[in-house]
Order: sequence, then structure tokens, then C-alpha cells
Amino acid sequence: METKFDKTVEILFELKVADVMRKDIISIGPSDMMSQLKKTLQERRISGLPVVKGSNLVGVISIEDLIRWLSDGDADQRVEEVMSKNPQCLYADQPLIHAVKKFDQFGFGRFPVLDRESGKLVGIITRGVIINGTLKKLEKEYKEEEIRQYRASHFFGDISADQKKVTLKFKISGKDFDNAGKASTTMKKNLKRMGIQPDIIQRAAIASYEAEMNVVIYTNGGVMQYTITEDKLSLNVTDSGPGIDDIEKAMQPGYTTSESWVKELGFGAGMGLPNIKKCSDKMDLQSEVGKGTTLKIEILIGEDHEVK
Amino acid sequence: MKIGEIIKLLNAEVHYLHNNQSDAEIKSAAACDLLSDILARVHVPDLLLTGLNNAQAIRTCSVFGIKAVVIVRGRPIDQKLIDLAHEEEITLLSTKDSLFIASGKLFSKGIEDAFEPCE
Amino acid sequence: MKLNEIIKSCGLELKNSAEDMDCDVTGGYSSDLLSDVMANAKDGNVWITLQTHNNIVAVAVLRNLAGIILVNGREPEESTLAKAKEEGIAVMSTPLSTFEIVGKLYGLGIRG
Repeated sequence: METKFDKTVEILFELKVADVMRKDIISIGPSDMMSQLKKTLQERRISGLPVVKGSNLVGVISIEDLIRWLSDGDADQRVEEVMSKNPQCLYADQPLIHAVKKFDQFGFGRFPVLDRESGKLVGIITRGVIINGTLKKLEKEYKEEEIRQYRASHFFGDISADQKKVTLKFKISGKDFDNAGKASTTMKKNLKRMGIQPDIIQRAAIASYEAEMNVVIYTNGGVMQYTITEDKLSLNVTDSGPGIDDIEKAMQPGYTTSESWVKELGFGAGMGLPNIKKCSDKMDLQSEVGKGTTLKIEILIGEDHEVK
Repeated sequence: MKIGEIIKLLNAEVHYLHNNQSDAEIKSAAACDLLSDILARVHVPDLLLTGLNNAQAIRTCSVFGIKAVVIVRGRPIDQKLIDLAHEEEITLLSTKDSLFIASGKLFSKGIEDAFEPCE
Repeated sequence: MKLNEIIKSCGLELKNSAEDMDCDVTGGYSSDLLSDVMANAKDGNVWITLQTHNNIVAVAVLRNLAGIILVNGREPEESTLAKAKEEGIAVMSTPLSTFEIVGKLYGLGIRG
């Protein structure tokens, strides 16, 4: 069995926004003047600030806003008249991968971080702190050599493009009952570490386990590949035969071609494929007798508690 | 019911007790030899009673989220299975009782089945 | 306890009658593995299973069982019913799971 895992992306799932964010927040009040903002940005060499009243976030203001204000040549003004209200935020308990997505989506330089419970501002996140936080974690876990590689590469750009996914690949041997199910339990542990919702993990694990048992019991072996992106988990199972004669029939609950030795293993009751379907949001089964079978399923992960 | 009481009730041999927690609470159980039937359920029982003594007994628990398994009918437990239980953190017990007797005893002590027919 | 009484007490649905519904049930055996039932069930036991394939009738005949109770609301296959009729084996069904129906039988005093 072989496992391929992109360490960087794995870390982006594991780390939470709170783990890397800056907590020493430099902020400005809504009734402070724009002239003061100009001074603060210059002195601190930063390009934007959260606007805070008490400990509540009321807006954000950036160097672009300042430039616009300067070029308009207006008289001194209160920050609240210039700032952007209802800014895009992140929650402290979200996985870092969400932050990466947000930077991609909006192209901003920074996002305020809120505590989910209280809604209060607890930190600031920038591209810089994401890179530093991820590298620090890499340094702890992996060898110098690998880190140098990561440093050398266009780190942020790579993740932002299509590497924002985790791929796990397992080779499944036919009739190897001692190891049957190992791919699925390994995958389940990884999903847990990534902080994916428990009900999603369970559905994924069941579908995967049934599919894995099918490969072990009925075929000469095959490959299972999991691809995890932030919105879905896809599982692609291919084997090299013998193939399914009548897919429609195979999908019926209780339909089975298995012999008694399979039943003695606790499987082969004709529940596998219907159960996989029940657990999946999307399922596609293609088979050719004598060639092999390809099963593709998708389970939506869906982040429904994204900050609005 | 606590796992320690179940061990006594079934006169069970303890092969692996996760976190050494004999006071872990067991409220529900399922009795089955066909593991895919367990996997098709809606609710997750705390305990699985089965006559299977192969790796799938443990892996099914791991996949489905069942905390403990009792292998019934006095089936032999080999070291590989114990190692796997350890690795997957699933409490592993065995008893000489049949599936019928073990289920009957637990049911009479108030353990329920979380079973809900799907169809 | 008689098979008839068990059907009544547990609310079982009778799918096929045995020749003798008044027979004494000597105990219960629960298993989904046919070879295990062949090896370990005792004469006159009632067998609780979720297997519905017609092989279960053959096993019941060979082991001289009092009847078969199908769990989880499972229906016997057509060929199973036909064979049960032919062999005079009682087939019953319950919407309950194995664990629950066994618990009820145990509560009635049925043992292994």
C-alpha cells in the first residue's frame, strides 16, 4: 500500500486561523481622523487596518482608501466616512485552507479574524502569517531538505492554484482479507485530522469500506484514490476485472452473486452497492465484463458556516 | 451499563480495553454476523456482538464509529486481531456465550438496540 | 414453550406454517453464518437470522430446527418460501433487529 500526501496542503487543513493569526492588533477608531490613519500606516509600515469600536469590528480601511481620500483633496475626515463597512472576515476556528481561499477570492491583503461565539475581533490574518505559520509547522515535522524545497517554490501561488487538494492513493490487493479495510480506516483518520464534520467522515468511511471490500472480494485488485478539496471528497475506485454483468441488478438491495465463503467473512449480502449509493451525494458506476469496473463517488463537504 | 459490568455478565475475556476504561458507558448494542447490515444502519450502536473473529469485525467498528466489540461463541482471538484492536482503539472482548445468550443477557439488563429500519 | 405461543407473544408474522405449530421450542440460536448454524444449533431450536436465501431452509431441515425468524423486516425470497412449504418448515418475520427479538425471546425464558 502506498500513500501520497501533499504535506503543505495537509497542514493547511490541520492548522486553524487562530494558530497563526496576529493577535497584536493595530487598529483605529471610527471617529479618528484620516490624518491620523495616514500617520499610523506610515509609522507602522502596514497597508490597512481594522476599524474597531470597543472590541467590535465596524469596518476596515486600507492604504487604497487613504490614497483615494488624498487624491480627492478633501478636508480632514473621520475614518468611518471613508472605511468599508461589513468587511469580509474569517473565524478563528476555521481551517487555514479557508483563509487561503478567501485571499484568492477577494485579492485583499488582510482579513480581520472574529471569535465565532462573541463576534469580537481577536486577530488579523495576512498572506505573510499564513506562509510563516505553515513553514514553522513544516520545520517542526519535516526535514531541512524538504523545507528548502518549499521555500524555493512559489509557495503561495502553488497552493492557490490547483494544489488546494489532498490526494490519497491506495493499492488494494484482491483476496487479501487481513488488510481489507485498511485503506478506508487510514482515510478516515486523515479526514478526522483535517477537521471535517463527523457525519461526513462517517458516510465517506462507510462508502469507502464497502467499495474496498468489493475490490478485495470480487476482483483481482485495484486502486482507490481519494481527492479532498474544500467542498467535496471524491473517491475513484478502479479494478481490472472481472467486471459487473448487469449493473442495474447489482444495485438492487439483496442482490448478490457471492458464494458462501464470502458470507462467512461477514459480507456478500447484496447490501454494498446500495449502501454506497445511500452514503454518496453522487455515484457513477461503469463496468465492462472482462475489463474491469470504475466506481466514482462524491460526498459534499460544504462549509455552511462561512462568514457572511 | 458499564463495560466492566458487561465483562462480568458475559464472563468475557478482555483482549484490549481502550484507555483502560472499565467504566465506559454502553447504552446500545447490535447483534450481527453480516457486517454490511451494520454499515447500512442509521444509528451507531455502542457495542457490536458478532461471531466473526476476522479483521473486518474491528474495521467495521472503526469505520462505523462503534466503541467496542464482543466476539461470541468462544471463537479464538489471534494476536493479529488484538494488535488491530489496539491500533484502531476498539475495545475487544470475547465470550463463550452464543450470540443468542449474550444478546439476551444484555437486553435483560436494559441495553437497547438503536436499530431503525431504513426501508 | 410452544412455537405458537412465541409467535403470539412476540408479534411475529407467520410466513409459512410448519406441520406442527404446537411443537416445543428447545431454545434459540442466532447466527447469519450457515456453517455455524449447521455446527452449533441444537434440535428444536428457533433460529434468528437476517439471511433470506433458500439455503436457510435446507439448514433448518438438516438441524431439525423448530423454525426460522427473519429479522429487520426482511421478506423470505420466493424460492425460500416454496422450499419451506415443501419441507414444512415454519418461517416467521419481525420488524425488530436480531438484538431486540433475541432479547424478547430471552425474556420469555428461551435459552440456548
